[in-house]
Amino acid sequence: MFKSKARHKKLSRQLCENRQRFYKLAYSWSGDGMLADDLVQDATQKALTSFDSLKDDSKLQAWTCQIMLNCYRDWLRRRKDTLDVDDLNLLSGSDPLGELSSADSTQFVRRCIRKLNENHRNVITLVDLMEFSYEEVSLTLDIPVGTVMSRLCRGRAQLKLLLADTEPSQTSSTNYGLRRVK
Amino acid sequence: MKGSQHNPDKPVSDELINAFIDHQITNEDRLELLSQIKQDDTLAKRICEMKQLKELTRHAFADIPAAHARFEQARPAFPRLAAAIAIFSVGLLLGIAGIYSNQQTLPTNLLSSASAIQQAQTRVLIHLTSADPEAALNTLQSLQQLLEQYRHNQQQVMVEVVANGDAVRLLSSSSPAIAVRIAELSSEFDNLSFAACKNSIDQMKVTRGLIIELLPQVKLIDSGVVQVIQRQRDGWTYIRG
Repeated sequence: MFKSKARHKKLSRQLCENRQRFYKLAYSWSGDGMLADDLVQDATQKALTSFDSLKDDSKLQAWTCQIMLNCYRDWLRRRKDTLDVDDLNLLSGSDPLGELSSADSTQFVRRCIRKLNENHRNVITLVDLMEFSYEEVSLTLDIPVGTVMSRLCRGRAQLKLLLADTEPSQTSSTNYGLRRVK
Repeated sequence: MKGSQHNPDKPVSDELINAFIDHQITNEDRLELLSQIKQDDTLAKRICEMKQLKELTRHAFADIPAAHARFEQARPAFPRLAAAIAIFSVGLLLGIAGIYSNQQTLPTNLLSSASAIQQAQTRVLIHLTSADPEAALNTLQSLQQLLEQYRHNQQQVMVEVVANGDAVRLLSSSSPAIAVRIAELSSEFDNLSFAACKNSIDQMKVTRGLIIELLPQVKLIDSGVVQVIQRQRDGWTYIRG
């Protein structure tokens, strides 16, 4: 009883301490501060109420990221029916002036990362932002380490191309937006 | 990737370069690759480009808006608590500033009294009216953060959670997840209390046949509404949970 309580307290504290990192990851996926807040909040809440299902406490972060990713996927599924034209424009970054004027800015890099295929984006953000090992990414996404490596490789190659291409009309951004409306 | 052996005769793959910059290869492979870099400018360039890409990604999210700055519009439960934290912080600062500005004229004992009063004035009433467990868990989470922040700043705060209407069910044994959280918070914070409205409990018994068994940490009060009004009259800050 006391052990369980102490464990819960310890894990709760670790979640609180890493909240900003989770937020950063959620922000990199969604590009929206409020949505990122919601995702972190939902994931944290679910984690707090289901510590019993966490078998290895050292995997807390990977486990929480997995929950958060599921929250984000749920949100995307719910969102499909209500996606509107304004959002498509926002997602595709199809404002030529804005795109060209901020080609070397962090905003541009963020947009490029969000344009990546979801599988690639997840791996890149977990490795680069969360500083997860390949094994932790494998655990979070429930895929083999070999797949983590190949997705990371293809994802970075794709990101490199996107970053090199400052002309918005030449990117595949429109396709990305349309793909999500299906 | 860790533990794999790299064959120096084969061209270095992108996977290996990624693993190198991500520190996911063994020291032996790392040293081998480093020795190759010295002799192969193309390889060095590829690694530099990949490293640069990684740094660009990290840099792009190094400075993003803080999570707490967004709470105001994120959820119904959070904005009020976030606003309360802000109000209290400003209030305390103003109070402290006022005390210091009058330091020349006020006697020391009055200064310490003023400071004590200023701190004691931080009293919060969180009013629960809905039986939505998810919203309640969010509220408890926000509540914990508020209490932790005050504890961290060594400031005094008193918080009372008052439930009436359907919300009294949240403070009963019928909501295990919430019961666990309430037990944890109550054992950790002496300055937190929970109260449930007797009128609402009686009404539920009569109209719906529901028997509400309150948690041991929850005290029974005659009327939640009267309690809310009285607390507000006494200067407590009201937050709708």
